[in-house]
Amino acid sequence: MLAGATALSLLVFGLLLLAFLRRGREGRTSPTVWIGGLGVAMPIAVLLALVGYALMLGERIVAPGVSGTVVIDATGRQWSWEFSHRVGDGTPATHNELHLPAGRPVVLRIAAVDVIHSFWVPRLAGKMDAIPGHVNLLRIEAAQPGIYEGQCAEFCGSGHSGHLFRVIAHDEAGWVAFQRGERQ
Amino acid sequence: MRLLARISAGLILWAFGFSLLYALQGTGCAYGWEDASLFGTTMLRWILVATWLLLVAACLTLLRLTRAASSDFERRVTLATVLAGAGTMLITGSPVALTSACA
Repeated sequence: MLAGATALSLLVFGLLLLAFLRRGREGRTSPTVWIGGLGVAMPIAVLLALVGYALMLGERIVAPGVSGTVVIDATGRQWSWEFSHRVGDGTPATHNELHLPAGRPVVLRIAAVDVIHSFWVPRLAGKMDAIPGHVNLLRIEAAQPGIYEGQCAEFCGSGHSGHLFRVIAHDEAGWVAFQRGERQ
Repeated sequence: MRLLARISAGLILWAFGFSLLYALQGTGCAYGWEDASLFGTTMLRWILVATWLLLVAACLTLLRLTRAASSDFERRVTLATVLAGAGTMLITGSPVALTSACA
């Protein structure tokens, strides 16, 4: 993506430079090439490629379809997050602390009880709205064990700036311990 | 006024079609049309894809407006906007066939 953006930028800068250097000379390139080719056809081709990539990425984020995936309910309210881990018997719901296994896909079922919030862990995935009366799915995966900061990304009232949570990604042993109820 | 209507018809139909697909998708998901199987896929998918294809065809039928143009300029502008509307309808509606409907 970065390489493509760099190549296109260099092409545009190069053409601009060429226009300055050859100012005043008779051009042999027809306006059709400039306007129809570089002004219309090229942006359409680039944007279509980006739309295709975005659709594929979107499908990967929202469509679970993987057996053995961990499913966790994430519920936003003014101004806290409740996470209900559907693993083991008696695993308690946690507040503002989402526990998950590292290196495995996790599907979050995101909802809200009062106003619209938005679930966002910048290092793990894009934003997903938490809407009262509606469940949105988000697939995330933490590559490494560790702590990842998260925050509400939709203004949800006077406590919005403090509507924070953290994601604790466990290694296998830590995840087994969490499922047994052994909180660290 | 008729001139304005003719040269903007393609884009207006696209705007209407996009809104219609958006409304059908939300309504279908809310009423559970995604759960009803029909000929190998879901009822919602059939409704959305059929509506999308009909809208693209409707956009293309507007090409006959170019015959009613009173000048070369009007014909060229109408042709450009109708093709832009049909192309945009084809592209912006394609996710109804390609992506999850109610995830």
